[in-house]
Amino acid sequence: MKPYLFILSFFFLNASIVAQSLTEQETARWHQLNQQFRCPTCQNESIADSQVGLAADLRTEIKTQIAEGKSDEEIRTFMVARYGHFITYEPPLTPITALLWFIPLILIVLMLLGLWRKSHATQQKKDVL
Amino acid sequence: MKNKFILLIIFTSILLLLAVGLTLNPRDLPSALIGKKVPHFALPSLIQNRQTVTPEMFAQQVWVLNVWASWCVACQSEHHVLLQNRLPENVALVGLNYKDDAHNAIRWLKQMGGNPYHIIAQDTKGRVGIDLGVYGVPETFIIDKQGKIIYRFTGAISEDDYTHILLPKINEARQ
Repeated sequence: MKPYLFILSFFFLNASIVAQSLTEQETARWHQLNQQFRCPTCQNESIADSQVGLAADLRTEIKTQIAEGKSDEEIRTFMVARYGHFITYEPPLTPITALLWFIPLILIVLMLLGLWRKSHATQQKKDVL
Repeated sequence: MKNKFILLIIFTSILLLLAVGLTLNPRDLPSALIGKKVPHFALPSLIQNRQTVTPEMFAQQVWVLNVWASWCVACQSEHHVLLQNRLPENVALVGLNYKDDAHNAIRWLKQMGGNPYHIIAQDTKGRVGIDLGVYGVPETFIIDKQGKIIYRFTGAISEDDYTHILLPKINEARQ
């Protein structure tokens, strides 16, 4: 085979892999979904960004499921059932994560209370003077 | 004076929280499958030709599913531990050869001094790995008599891990 034909065949091979019967809209959905999941192996990257083999497998898995007509929610449930809530970037409210959600709120309330008490005290001082 | 004391308490508690946070291992993820039934699979056996490996083969029995690959460096040290420590009676050690080439896998077993597994399933594409939530090799699952996953160990098992973590869990499941 002539070398340029050989190289050309790679382009077609790639094109056929990427195409895998997804419409333009579905491809957009695919890219968007890939960004919503954290790569379990290299934890600071999404599976869209990660070069790791598992991330590639998960991208393929999501693509297959989109082609099968699965909804985003179904795909999310599939991922969480296997890798836990860790894989999404949105931790749900559970007894363990409650602290995470409520500590800022509690701190703000405490600070406001402290401020209120302080201003109250200075007000009383002024009254005395 | 009182204010300073409160500040000191706040400061120490933040320091403690940070210290705990720093010593946690972020790679040690809890498995989402604990307490769930082991996902169904039917994979070809690596060594016995034309035999299919399924979880149903180990019904009513405690079994240990060890995910390994010949390309996995950490699996080498673990392999010695698996060879040297025979599991208790009636507990099967099942291998899941993850995203590997059959020839490389068989050669690796020979080079590493033997095959500790009862049977090895070939997960060439890693699809069963996804169902198990595998995110790094090696990983080890302990499955009880009802077919439920009761424990997952991530990373290479050391001699110490085997005696102090895995064996107690296995014995717990046997009762």
